[in-house]
Amino acid sequence: MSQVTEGYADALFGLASAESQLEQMESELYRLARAVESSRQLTDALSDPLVPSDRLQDLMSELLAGRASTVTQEAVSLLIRTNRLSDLVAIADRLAEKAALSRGRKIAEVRSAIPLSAETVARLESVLSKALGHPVEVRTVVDPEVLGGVVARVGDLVVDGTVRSRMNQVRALLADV
Amino acid sequence: MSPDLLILAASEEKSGLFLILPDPAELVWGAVSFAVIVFLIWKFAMPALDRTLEARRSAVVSQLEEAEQTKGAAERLRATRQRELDQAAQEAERIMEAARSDADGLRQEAVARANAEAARITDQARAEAEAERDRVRAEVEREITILSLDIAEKVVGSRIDASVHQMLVDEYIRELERETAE
Repeated sequence: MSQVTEGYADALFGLASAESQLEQMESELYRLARAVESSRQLTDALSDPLVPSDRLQDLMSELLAGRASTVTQEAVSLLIRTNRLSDLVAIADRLAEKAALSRGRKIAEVRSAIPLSAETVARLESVLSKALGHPVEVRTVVDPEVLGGVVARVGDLVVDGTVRSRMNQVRALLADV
Repeated sequence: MSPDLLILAASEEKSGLFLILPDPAELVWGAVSFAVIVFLIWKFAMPALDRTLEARRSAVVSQLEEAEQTKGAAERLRATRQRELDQAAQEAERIMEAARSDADGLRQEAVARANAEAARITDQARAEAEAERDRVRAEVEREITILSLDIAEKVVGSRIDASVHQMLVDEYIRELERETAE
């Protein structure tokens, strides 16, 4: 975690808290970060120093219009102006962690191939909290790459129950033969 | 001259046997002189002659001996030369023989080396061919494995519908619960 990431996460945390929109901003930024992560094109565009900032502003306005609150759009706009959009994912993740911690929880990122039902998310939250001995907040990410099942990541801990990981195990096994 | 003729005329006065015989006194003196001369010759001339002859004889003997020695030396020298020639011939023969055997050995060695080298190259080529075949086989097997897994993944991915997804998630949750309970 770089100093810069931490500083920006702090700043956005302060800003959103002051506006009483912490939960909204961090969840919107978290979703944006997942969208960026899953799109190679978007990731490249954000980290390409040759893309001019007004192009990025246009891109982000288009992407967020109607989907994110004004405070979130302002936050993204700030990152573009200060040339920190390439750190968006790290900053959003850190902000989400800080927000969760402020509620006495940790973030559990749960990836699955299809969206999980609210009931399933609640069960996952409960069982992961018990397993880790600490209350967690489940953030779901839809990722077709996992094929089936789910994988939960809390900090450095990964609990993998995906079909993808089983396929990879089979691959590793066969590669050794 | 005439006195001498007179003496002759006087001696002719003798006769008979006395005509051819000298006078007894002359005879005595003659005999004594003869004996003296013989004695002198025997005493002085003969030893000198003997010495001379002896010297000549011994000179001849020594020359003969010398010649004999020279001849012997020449003979020995000749024999030595002959021996040396024989030895040289033998040596030459021996050297030729050694050279022949050396050449033979070298040829055999060269042939053996060439054979060994040929065998080595053949073995190496065979080993390389085998290694290449194994490598290709392993590569093909790997490719087949990857391909099979890719296909399997697609099949698995397409077979997982909502109910299977739910089942997998439920299984995941149950697994976590079981591990937590332990």
